[in-house]
Amino acid sequence: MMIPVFIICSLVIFLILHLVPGNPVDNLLHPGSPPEAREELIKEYGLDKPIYQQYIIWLANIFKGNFGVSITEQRSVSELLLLKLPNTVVLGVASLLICFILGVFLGVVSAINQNTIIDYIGMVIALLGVTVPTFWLGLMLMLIFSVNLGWFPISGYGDFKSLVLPAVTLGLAGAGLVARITRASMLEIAQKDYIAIVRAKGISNTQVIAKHIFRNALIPIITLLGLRLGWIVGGAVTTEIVFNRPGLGRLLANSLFRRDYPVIQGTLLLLVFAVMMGNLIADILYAYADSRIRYN
Amino acid sequence: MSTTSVKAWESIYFPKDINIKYGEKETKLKLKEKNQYIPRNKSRIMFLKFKKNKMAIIGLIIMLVLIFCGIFADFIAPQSYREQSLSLKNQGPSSNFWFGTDEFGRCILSRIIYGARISLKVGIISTGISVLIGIIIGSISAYYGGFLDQMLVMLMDVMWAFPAILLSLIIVAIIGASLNSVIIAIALSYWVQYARLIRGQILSLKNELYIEVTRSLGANDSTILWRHLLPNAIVPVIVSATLGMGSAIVTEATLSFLGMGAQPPTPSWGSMLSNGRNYLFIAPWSAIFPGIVTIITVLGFNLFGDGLRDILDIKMKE
Repeated sequence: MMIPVFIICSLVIFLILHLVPGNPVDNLLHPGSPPEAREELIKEYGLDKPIYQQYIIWLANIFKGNFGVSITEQRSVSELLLLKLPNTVVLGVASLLICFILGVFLGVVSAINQNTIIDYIGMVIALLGVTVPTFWLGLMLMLIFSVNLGWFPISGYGDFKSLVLPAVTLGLAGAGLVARITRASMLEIAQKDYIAIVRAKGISNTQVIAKHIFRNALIPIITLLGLRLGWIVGGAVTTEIVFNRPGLGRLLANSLFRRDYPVIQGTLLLLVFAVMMGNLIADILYAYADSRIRYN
Repeated sequence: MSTTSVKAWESIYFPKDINIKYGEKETKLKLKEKNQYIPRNKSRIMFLKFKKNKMAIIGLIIMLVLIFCGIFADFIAPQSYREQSLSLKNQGPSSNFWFGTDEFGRCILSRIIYGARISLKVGIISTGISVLIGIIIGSISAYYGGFLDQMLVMLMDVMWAFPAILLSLIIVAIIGASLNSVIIAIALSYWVQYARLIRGQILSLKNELYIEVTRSLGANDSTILWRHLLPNAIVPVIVSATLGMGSAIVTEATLSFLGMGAQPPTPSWGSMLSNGRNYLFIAPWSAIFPGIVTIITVLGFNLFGDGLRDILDIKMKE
């Protein structure tokens, strides 16, 4: 199922960018250059061929690992992608870790202290995490920790210090949903009959929570782990722009402004592939965590 | 008839309080008088439940304030949203300008009040369109099934693989940055969740007995689908759409922040934040206040949506 969906995704990506008015070579030409120069450029990038031919050539090249050549920068798209990919992967992994560790912690603490002040505080934090726009959170963290306290650099990349703020921004914003689902799932499991039986056996409260409730409550959280990947990919665009980090998100935004088709297509294809892999991993982890599920 | 049996009869029909269950909590509704009837009317019960749900009420109040600000912005706003006075630029909050002024000396509070219009417009219209698309595609897919269903599910899967914010960014970049393209982009990026929801609902409803009865009475497909299935399937969509308006508003703010949304001098909260970002050192208030207002607004929609879900007692995946 994944391969046809991926191929249709590639078709969609290819079509929406080609059916719109505006030719990317216009950005390359100096004002007042002769129309012959324009024709020549169009021919050079293969934009004069019928659209289905362009698609087939493009798709065939992708399976060979060739994403084409950037129109505005004279480099191959795969080179550009490989250059920016590590930054986004580091940011994504770091924020996913923060998102889950913090979210699960908050959710478990809230669930254990249900309907107490701790629970309410935890859930208000979680609700804020769900509602606060990522870019605004980034700006505020920047204002507090870079401008006023001067602990972290405002922008930049490469070292650990410059990773902290972007990763925390993206992680905090995602932690809210994880916390809410963890709490709901813990409370649901705690009401099950088998938990009552475990308790009746005289097992200590800590053990019941850690071994029986928490492990069973993990199942929806694991599913969420894979689904959050798409969200991280979306959030990375704004976070990278706010913190001026060179990554796939900023590459995509910049290429959109310049109508650099090959780069947009390559980046989108990579991101969509990542999201689909995330969903697949979620399915596999789901089956692993819940022994009742068996795929044939 | 003995007195005891009368009492027993009374306690059935005039109980002291009723337990209404919603979410995890069980709430006792105290009846004022002994002889008060139990509300048998469904909407009356819902109203009582709603009155008990403080969070939903807070959400509703926030939404109403926002709508009020949007409609009467011309009368509430202390200043015009576009009047510039460069001598007063980047001033901090004061008694004249409660939220300070921006880089052109425009009153931030007034711009925020006018911005409510933009956010509401985007939230309501784009969510409306995407719900409409979702209902049409989802119900047709579920009702007719077969090859058509497979194709539409495939389409939904494809759309699902694109993160919504990315998709709307691409659409806006293609059709050009303006408020209307933001609305179209959000509508085209968020319909899948409604389509999936309605498809699931109709799939589970279409084999019910009453549908079979309706069909045997001679109703045609469109009557069954629009008159009988849809009204029964719509409730989770309403809840989801309330929450969806919050995400639409955030998406609009994000797109405007990236310079892809409403163009100046339109006072969109997102573009105000985008300008404020450049003056973070000298005028942090121009980035702080629009953000706080955005958060409160989205919070309002989320609280109301969550409350609605509890009241209508719907099981939904987050």
